[in-house]
Amino acid sequence: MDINSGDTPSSVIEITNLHRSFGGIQALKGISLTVPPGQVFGLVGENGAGKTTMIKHILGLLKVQSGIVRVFGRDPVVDPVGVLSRIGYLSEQSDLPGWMSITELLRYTQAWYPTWDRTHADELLHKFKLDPAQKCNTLSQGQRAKTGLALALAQRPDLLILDEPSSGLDPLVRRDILEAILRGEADKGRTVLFSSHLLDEIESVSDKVAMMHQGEIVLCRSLAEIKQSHYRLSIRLAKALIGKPDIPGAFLIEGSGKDWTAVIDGEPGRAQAYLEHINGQIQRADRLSLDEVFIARVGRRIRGI
Amino acid sequence: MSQIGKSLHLAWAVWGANRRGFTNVLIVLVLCAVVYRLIPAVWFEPPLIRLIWFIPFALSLILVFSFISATVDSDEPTVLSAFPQRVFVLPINTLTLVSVHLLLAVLSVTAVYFAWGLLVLEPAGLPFAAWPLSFVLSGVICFQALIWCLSRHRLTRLIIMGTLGTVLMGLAVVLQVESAGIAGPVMGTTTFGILLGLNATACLAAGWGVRHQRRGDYWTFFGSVGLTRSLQRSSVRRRPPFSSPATAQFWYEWRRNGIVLPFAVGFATMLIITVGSVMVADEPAHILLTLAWLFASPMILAVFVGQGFAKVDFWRGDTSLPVFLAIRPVSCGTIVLTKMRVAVMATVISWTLVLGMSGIWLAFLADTSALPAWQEVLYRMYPSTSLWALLALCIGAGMLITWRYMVLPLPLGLSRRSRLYYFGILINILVVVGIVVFIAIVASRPTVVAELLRQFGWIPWVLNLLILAKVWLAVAAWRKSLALGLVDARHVVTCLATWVLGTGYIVLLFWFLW
Repeated sequence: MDINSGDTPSSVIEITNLHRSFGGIQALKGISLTVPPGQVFGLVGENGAGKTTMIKHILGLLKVQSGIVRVFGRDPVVDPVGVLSRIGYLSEQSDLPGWMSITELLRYTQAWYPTWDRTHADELLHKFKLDPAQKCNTLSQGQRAKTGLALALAQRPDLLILDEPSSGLDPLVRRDILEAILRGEADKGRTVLFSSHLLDEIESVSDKVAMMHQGEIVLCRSLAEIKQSHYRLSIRLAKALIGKPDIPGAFLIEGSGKDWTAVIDGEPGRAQAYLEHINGQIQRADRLSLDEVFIARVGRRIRGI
Repeated sequence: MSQIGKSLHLAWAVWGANRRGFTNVLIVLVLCAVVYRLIPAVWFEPPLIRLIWFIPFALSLILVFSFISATVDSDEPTVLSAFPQRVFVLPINTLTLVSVHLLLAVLSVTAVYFAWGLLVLEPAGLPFAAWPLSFVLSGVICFQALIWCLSRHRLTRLIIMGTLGTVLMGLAVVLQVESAGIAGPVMGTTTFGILLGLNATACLAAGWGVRHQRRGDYWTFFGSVGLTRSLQRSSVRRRPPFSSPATAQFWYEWRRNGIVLPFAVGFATMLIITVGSVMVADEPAHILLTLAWLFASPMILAVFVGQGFAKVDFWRGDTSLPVFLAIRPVSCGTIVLTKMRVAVMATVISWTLVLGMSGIWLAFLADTSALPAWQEVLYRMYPSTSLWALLALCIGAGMLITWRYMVLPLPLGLSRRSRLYYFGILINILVVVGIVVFIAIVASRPTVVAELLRQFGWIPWVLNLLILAKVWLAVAAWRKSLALGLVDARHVVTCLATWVLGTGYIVLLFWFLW
């Protein structure tokens, strides 16, 4: 695909071999990612995995050191106006200007976006129970998040980026934010990039998920594929083994002697064929939740397994 | 731990939080102690500029106080009390909490005051006396009390602090004028009593304010919050959307950064008029000095305000771009041009304030008996020119210089490199102070230029080289900006035309006056 070709590329975000280091620390190690239009794309990773650094590249807030970043087919650093006018952004660190009232904030933000929907903005304020005359520096953390979300949604963006929007928020505010995303999904053509380390949130709204760990993408697939292809197998062998069994598709194997547990990526049938060969059998095969997949994928790396 | 132990622990925490700031003040003190001794005595003589040598001294006092005050005056958006919660949860009673901070502020300012007096000012032959310290300390105590008591009312706090500062400085000047010299006896029983009463009230208010904050109380001016909300609601409803992104950015810039210069000029004008009225009442010839300070104030303040105006946000401590602004679809060129336009508006309003207030002062309050003599002098110097036209031309030049100093530090402020920015501030201020000192010396000893050129013949060559380097740097910066697409050719032409016209105007005016 020619990512420089025009305004309607086949992917909204196209990142190719992106590297970024701060001093001696490598924050991103050759990330490649494609976000197709009209999807909710979940980005998960532990704190410091590089999610925010990647998002800053997408917004053009960091210049690429090595690699290519294109948003709507454009370089966000070279053409910030063209890219940012189509993006709604809500971050974990809501740095709304404290001296503005909510109405002033909406009035100021409205000027930048030709697609601004004033009626929708009023609806959101009403729904979130926000007082338009209230100054931003008197808002609670939850109210600030809701205000930020109202700003991002009222501009009817083609791409909505949510960078850990619900960190530290109570369940009611988190529910409001998730509902807004689910409703936004119905809007034709809208793409959402939703970064979080709260996997239940990602699981409830995402079509596709990328897992990040220490600056790398360790898994990037549709949510349905991830959930269908990951199993935890409880295995019983006829004879005790000294080393680990070499189960095909397994990326986490724990246990000792005759009893083993394996987490596999693929159909259990292949593992069954191998186990029959070494006189073993699968006693139980459970599908994994996204949370468990993440722990199995990332936890093993953290523990150095 | 005893209360004394806790107090020492708290004092240590304040010191630790501002260690770098205190060290910088100490470094400046030592540097000035050396530099002031090396400077020839003639540089201290012109009375017009003698005040400039006290600026680092005054800034050191303000900085030391602000370090201690800033430790407790949190700027976190959700924290409305002047003390951050972490201080309130310490196992220490409120009286100790207030006393430690007040005592620390008083002791630090006193130490810096005497260190400057004994190590810098007196050895350099500059006047120094102990009595003004009582006014300074009253200011410190009252300001600290106001910061704590009016923590929710920042604008009100600013206005009251500005007014109080003006009154205290005015009172100090009155005393100096009455005593006919800085070393004379000045502190009468009445003044001493007023200051003592003021300090005692401020201490009580501080204790009251902090105690209420600690238990989550806050007070309003007779329901002013509700009134403000109602006014805000009604005014906001009437406002239509901005016509363009540039208009919205202009509004943002003006509200956040542009308004500072007119406010500062307004306060300075009031202060100068207050002090000037006393001086002119004592000696009518001082009217020219007062007018000189009035007309110089926008330019002098622009040098200092411009350093903060150059940043994306005047009130932020660092030069970083807030994410809220960074994600707006705005080009770098638009940000810069909007700042330049806001600087024009700030300049025009500031000068209007100066001219309006000076006019009212001259027409109704000042003793203008000395002015006709000065008019005669000017008629003799420029016989074929209308004095009003000359005045208008000079005001135009003053406005241009004010605007120039507002926009001069923009490249540094928007570079987002804090070290470069602060280094630039230092250089800018040193250059401006150097120019003012030089002009004042030339005014008092016109032969000094010829003497300098005779002794150091290379000076014109160095100045020419510096001008060439500056032009080359400007051309390189514009070319790079064009190549990166940060500005377009129209912007370059507009800025070049503005620069040529502005510089040409100033050069021609100086040539004519010379």
